[in-house]
Amino acid sequence: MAINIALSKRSMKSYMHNILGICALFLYSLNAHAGDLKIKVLDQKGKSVEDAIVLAMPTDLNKISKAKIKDEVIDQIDKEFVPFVKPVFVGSKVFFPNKDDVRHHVYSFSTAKTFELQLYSGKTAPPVVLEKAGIVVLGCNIHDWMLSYIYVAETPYFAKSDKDGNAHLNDLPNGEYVLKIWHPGMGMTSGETGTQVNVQEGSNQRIEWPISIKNIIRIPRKTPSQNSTY
Amino acid sequence: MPNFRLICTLLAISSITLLTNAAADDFASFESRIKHDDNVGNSRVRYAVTDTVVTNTLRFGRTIDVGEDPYLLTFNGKLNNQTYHRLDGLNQLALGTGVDLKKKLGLGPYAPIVAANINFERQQFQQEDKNQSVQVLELRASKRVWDALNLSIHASTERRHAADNNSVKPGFSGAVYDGSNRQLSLSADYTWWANSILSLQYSIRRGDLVVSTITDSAAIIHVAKAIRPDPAFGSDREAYKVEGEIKSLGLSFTYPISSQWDVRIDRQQHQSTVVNGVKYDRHAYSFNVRYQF
Repeated sequence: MAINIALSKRSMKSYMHNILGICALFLYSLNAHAGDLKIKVLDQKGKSVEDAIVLAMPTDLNKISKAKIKDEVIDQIDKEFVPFVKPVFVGSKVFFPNKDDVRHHVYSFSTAKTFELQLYSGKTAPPVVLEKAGIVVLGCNIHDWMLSYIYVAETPYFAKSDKDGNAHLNDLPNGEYVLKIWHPGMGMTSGETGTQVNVQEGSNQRIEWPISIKNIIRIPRKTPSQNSTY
Repeated sequence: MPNFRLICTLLAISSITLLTNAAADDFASFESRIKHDDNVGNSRVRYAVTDTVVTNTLRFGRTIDVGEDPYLLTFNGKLNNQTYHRLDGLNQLALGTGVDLKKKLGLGPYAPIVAANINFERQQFQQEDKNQSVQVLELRASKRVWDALNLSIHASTERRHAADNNSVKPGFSGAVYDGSNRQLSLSADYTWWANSILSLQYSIRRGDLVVSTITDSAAIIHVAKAIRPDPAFGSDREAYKVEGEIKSLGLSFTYPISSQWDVRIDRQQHQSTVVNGVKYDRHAYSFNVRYQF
């Protein structure tokens, strides 16, 4: 009996060691199979470009099928959509909470998704599922200046550039990717395709990407001969 | 004042609606303007009086949407002060209020919009016989042709009720500041670089107009509907109410400095033609600064 207990304690210790070893290996493998891409987006004058969407499309499409779909949110704050540009993965469910005191009437005429959320307050609007890749332009039928772009991406690997033009694609699985970029200043085009990159474990590549964009003319909040709403 | 009861009723109904509605959009702005006018009295060129006026205006209001396919109802108020550099008698304090009802006919920014508004204003001048109440009823329609260009058409009728209509010149009415007119205007607002706006406006106004010129002006006296002295322009001046037409062309450029501040430069050109064919030209240049709270 005493021998049995001693043996079982020894096997338990060995078992715990094995578990810890597997965990360490798993964590290491996670790190080892992830690479980063840091892209700096510049315009034709060499200035940093905010709100550009950089996408990495894996050549091995199995990587896409394993990606999880998240719920996404576009707020309405001070009679503006926030954010102005939002990348989402195809199939995402997008919520449109209204954080203003006034009602909004959100719509899109875009071919990627046509929908209308009739006048509502708060969080009463149902989410919109974006099943088709493309650009969805949002508007509000009460406040015509409200504008936002949803880029529905076919890949889960994307990032949006910040005000300094930096877009970071972190933890990309090893493999080959074709890069793509889009900005509202490119209009309703599918964007610009860039080079093919090879991401290896622990790699940290930096790319400078100059793009050609046009000024975005937005409907003003108030014109000299028009009242503020509509 | 036949429409006064109607206006008060409309204002009372809209005030109750607006005050009891929680989902309201409040707005307020303050605007300062300096304007140089080369013919303040709207007289013939040789009698033209030039002056510069500073105007400060506080506007405030509340907008609500009514119904599920909504109408937008706006209740607005205005407090306005005008100070002339030389023509002190024209200095003015005004208090105004109004209701605007607006409807968009469809979905999206290119859907046409129709609107109607009624405004009531009380103007108090330093030269007291100019004190008057003004009622304006306006209908308008607008259409955004593309993101950068908005076109609109406005038709309005204005009625002025003067405080003092006593005859002061034998054989003539003294109701110079009491009258009415109709106006039709077309506007185009073009959004330019950095969201600045270039606006062009053309309007035709027909009805009563006031000309302040030298006493017993032969060109005007036989077509005048009312005459009274106009000491704001000098002891040798009289104000004449005549029937006529004013064609105006305005060009302005608005530049947003920030989301709250904007500046505007503006040029206005007016040509008045009275019933006997006499024409009066007037030009004004202004610079505005506006802050939206």
